[in-house]
Amino acid sequence: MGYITRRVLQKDAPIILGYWVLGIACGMLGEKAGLNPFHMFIMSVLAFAGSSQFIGIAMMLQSASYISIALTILMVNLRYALFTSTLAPLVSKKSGLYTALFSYGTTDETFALNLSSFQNETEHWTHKEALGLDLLSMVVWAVANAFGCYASKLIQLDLSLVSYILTAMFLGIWSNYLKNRTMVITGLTAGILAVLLAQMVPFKLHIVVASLLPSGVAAWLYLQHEKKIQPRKSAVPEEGSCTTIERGTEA
Amino acid sequence: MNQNYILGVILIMALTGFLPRILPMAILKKYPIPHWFKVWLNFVPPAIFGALVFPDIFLTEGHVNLSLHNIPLLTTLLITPLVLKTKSLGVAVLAGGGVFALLEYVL
Repeated sequence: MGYITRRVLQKDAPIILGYWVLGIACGMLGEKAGLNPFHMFIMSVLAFAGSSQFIGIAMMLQSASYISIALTILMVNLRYALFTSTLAPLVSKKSGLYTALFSYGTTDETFALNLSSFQNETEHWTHKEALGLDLLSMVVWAVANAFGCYASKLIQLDLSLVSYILTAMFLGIWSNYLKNRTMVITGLTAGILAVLLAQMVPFKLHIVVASLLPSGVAAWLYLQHEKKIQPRKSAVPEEGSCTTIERGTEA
Repeated sequence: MNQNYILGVILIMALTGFLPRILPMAILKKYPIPHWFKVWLNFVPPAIFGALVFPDIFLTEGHVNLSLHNIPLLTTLLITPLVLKTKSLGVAVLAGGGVFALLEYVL
């Protein structure tokens, strides 16, 4: 008990709404590629990744080779490695099974929500609730995918609107991280870099490259600045660090 | 489409979804994270979401599109003040979807 609490439902509501719409769209695309609702359900449970499922299905439509599908999706999913690195200290005392499930349930959206909830100390967000939020989102995503595949002949969906819903979710999450000038500059630089690199870098790598470079430079500048202020001690709590990320993200 | 091909791709999606998620968490939960790495990770989310949003709104079929027909860009410009003020995912989804549909209808 204690996995799906009232506040899990409250916090997850906007994600559920977004995943429902996107999941139906993804299922409809899958139907085009010859997949059935069972395929879509299994894929969504095992992969649980919106953009990589869209990309994978699009590549199936072109009968792409296993190796190019694997490389492309791996690149798109590399950002999850950054997310689960950030969440790692929070599970230091948890079992291997919990770690496996919790890391698997990490998406752009569940990462942002769980991190901000854990960091808000007055909230006492529990590990059970964090996993509950992940699994609830996963079930909604999988059911929506299967439903979209099943009902693809009955419903008409505005595909450009659906893809904008995903952008709007990213924008909503992004707004929570733009807390000081450094972060705004880092974010805008990464955005511009991603637009420029999108035309040049293969395998959809532009997102990872465009985020590692500016964040690396910002961190380097920050560390230099820190050294100047406190040349001996390096364990000062940094401004805007993990502990000071404000609560947000909830509707 | 070939059943084996479909199942093969699903298996690939499972592996490429699982490994990048579990490995960093399984390794880093055991060891203290170096200070410089923590500082870096702190700047990753603002960068990553910027890198996800910008191509979505500025590129149309791979090319920069700054025209009035770029509905994703127009919608984003219109809802950004509200999203920055509320910092809410729900507001972003509802306002974004609503404004986008309205612009599509009008333009």
